[in-house]
Amino acid sequence: MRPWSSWLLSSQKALSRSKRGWWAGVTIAVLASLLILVGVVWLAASVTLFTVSSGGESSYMTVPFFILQLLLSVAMIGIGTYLVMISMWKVSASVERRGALLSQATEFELLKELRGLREQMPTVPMNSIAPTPGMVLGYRLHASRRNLWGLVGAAAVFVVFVGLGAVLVIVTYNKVSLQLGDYSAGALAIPFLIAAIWSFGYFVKQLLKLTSIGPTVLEISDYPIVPGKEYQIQLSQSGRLRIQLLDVTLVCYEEATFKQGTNIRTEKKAVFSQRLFRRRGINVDSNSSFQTQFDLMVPEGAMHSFNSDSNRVQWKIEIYGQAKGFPRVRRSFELIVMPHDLGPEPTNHPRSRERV
Amino acid sequence: MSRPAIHISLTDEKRVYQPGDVLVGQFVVDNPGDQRIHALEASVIWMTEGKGEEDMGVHFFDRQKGPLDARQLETPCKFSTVLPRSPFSYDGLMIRVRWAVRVRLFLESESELTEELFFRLGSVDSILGDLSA
Repeated sequence: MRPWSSWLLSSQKALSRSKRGWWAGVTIAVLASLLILVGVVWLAASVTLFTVSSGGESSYMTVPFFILQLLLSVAMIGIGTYLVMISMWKVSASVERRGALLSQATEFELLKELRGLREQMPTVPMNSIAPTPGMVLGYRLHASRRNLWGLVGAAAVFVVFVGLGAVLVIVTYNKVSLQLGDYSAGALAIPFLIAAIWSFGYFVKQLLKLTSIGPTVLEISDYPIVPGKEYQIQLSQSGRLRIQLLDVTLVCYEEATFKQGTNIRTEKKAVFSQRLFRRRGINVDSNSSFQTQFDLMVPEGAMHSFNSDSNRVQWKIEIYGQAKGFPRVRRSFELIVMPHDLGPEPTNHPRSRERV
Repeated sequence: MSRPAIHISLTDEKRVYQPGDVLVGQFVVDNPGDQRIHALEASVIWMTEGKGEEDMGVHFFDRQKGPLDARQLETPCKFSTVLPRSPFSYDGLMIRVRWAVRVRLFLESESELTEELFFRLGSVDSILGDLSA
């Protein structure tokens, strides 16, 4: 019988190359998370023990020893964070996307064109994630990165709560061992540890959202979008699971920011939505992704993308995916919709003058 | 004593323009009386209305510094500008984008008199609705 590690790494039949890569990424992410956790607890323990021992008569924690522990624990946290970020990036983004982003620095005519249009139309947003050249159709759209920030935020909250909880547990342990009879720090540690468990659960949920149905690749025949014109969309969905539902919708949002008392609030409302594609029960094989093409047309007479300080009109392709046993996943790809009547650029008339 | 009144008019009475069209109009100040006018400003602007804070963009701006006398004010003052490609006029659920010609009169008494004339740029449908429902 072969050891599990050789089966995991070498068996092409049991585990394809893409699936092996995914598992490798997840394993590294889990190990790196443990590294961060150990680092945080070690850091908290070192700081607490140093503070406690320097206050008492017995100082078994010398300053050089403390600095050494400090450096080691910070290094563990740093290396762990780096490994988590790298492995998350590898799991969540396909090889093509990573390659496309790396080659983004090369000449790409669309970027120049978008820059020129921004100067002509300052209220039409051009600063969203710019498309890169596509493999099947002309341009490849990129999803907003909100999910990744949710994951990073959840991890940060988890680390903070674990750190605080660890400090309080060590203080309590120290007091118990010295038979001081003061358990207030222990009582205080309980809510922090509960919060740490909750934030860990949230972190896992975010991680599953990011990785459960695999990367979605959207390509479009032309870009930016003009209302009334038909475009082809190529959807490519890779993953490792049976996707129960895949739903693709074109949505237009209005977003308004306003003051309410001393708070600043932002309200968002969908003013248009149109289903582009919907299918149930998709079997995505790890060797080949699910691929389909469908049409997209922003209705003639629709408002173009608009962005001012407090108001926004935003067009998006939103993809909802549901895999069995995983939370529902939403991915959105922002589109720039141009004013439909572009024609030749207006000639320069004087736009400002002052007479005395 | 009657206060001065500003009258703005556009050559195109439909008041619907497309990007690149030339917006031509004029304004006069009626009943300027003996009021001394410090300055006169004419502008073509877009502004947002609705739930969000109001935003504004100036496309054309013309300022005449005073003092201006009655004869100068009663003479029609013409203006023209080529309209830009965006933003289009829009009547959404929470956001409204409007274009206007705005004339502002700065009186000696440190008060101001403002008059606006709205027009539309582009032909965007008001509200699109939910087609997938």
